[in-house]
Amino acid sequence: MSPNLPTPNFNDLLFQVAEKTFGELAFLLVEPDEIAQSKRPADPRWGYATRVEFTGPFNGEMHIKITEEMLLPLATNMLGIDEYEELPEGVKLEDALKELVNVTCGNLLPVLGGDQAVFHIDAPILSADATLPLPESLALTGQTLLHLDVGSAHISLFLDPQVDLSAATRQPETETEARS
Amino acid sequence: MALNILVVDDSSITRAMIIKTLKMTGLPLGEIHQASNGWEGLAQLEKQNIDLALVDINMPVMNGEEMIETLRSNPKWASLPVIVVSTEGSRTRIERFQRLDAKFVHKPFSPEVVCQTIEQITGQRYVSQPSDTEF
Repeated sequence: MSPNLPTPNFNDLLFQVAEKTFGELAFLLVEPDEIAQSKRPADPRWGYATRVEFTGPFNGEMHIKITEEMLLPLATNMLGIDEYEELPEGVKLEDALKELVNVTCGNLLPVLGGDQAVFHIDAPILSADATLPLPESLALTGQTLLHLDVGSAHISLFLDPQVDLSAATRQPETETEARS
Repeated sequence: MALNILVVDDSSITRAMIIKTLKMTGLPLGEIHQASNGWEGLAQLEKQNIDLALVDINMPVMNGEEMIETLRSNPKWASLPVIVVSTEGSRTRIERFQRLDAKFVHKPFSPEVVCQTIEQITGQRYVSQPSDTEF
């Protein structure tokens, strides 16, 4: 198969990894579609965005955008503090989003490349205006939208156009639970 | 004996999360020191009396692997307990850390996993398990 265009399998992979990571890292839970549709706009207005590049057997980039109201609960949940509490010294709210993309990307790469592949993940970069430039030499390979109990998040994956990840795209059916 | 711990990670929020998690484990904690890369971590080790280091992999200036290799080549720190805390999913790379006598904790992590790993690497039992308190 060609990864040049978004496919349902890559979208499902992204969704599964993101759902698990958001839940385990920050206790953010995906809302069922029927609830999300009544509460969340179909086309959310993004407040913050970050991206991370990785290199290895294949190169790529992950982007995450979140709605404005999601940043505070994301950070406080990760830190295990209440929303009215002060952040620890030196910690900024935006650091939570950078850590979120770092961990989500780190958890996705073994699914795509196998557990022998060694990747280097760069430091995440925060966008100043919630927009992210499209990578010039990479192709959009998958994307997913998560409606969570505290806001919405959009995740995009860009990969080398030449890379063959046909084995990875079979995983949702054989090794991981399909999205319910 | 309280554990003096060094947390090395370039993300300030990750360092804060690790410190919060350590406080939730019930482990006897002494001083907790922080560094934002391997080079700063080595400097902290020179200055402080550290019993255990929790180290990230991907960091600027000096990454976690370089830091641990430096530790192991110095007799003063050759046997310092080190735990790598990372999103790393490569079995190949995790095995490299195991060969450097480091344990590995995968992100996201729980207080239970952090506590168990610290007890494994230090060879000490600090926290009572439910089965320890049978009536």
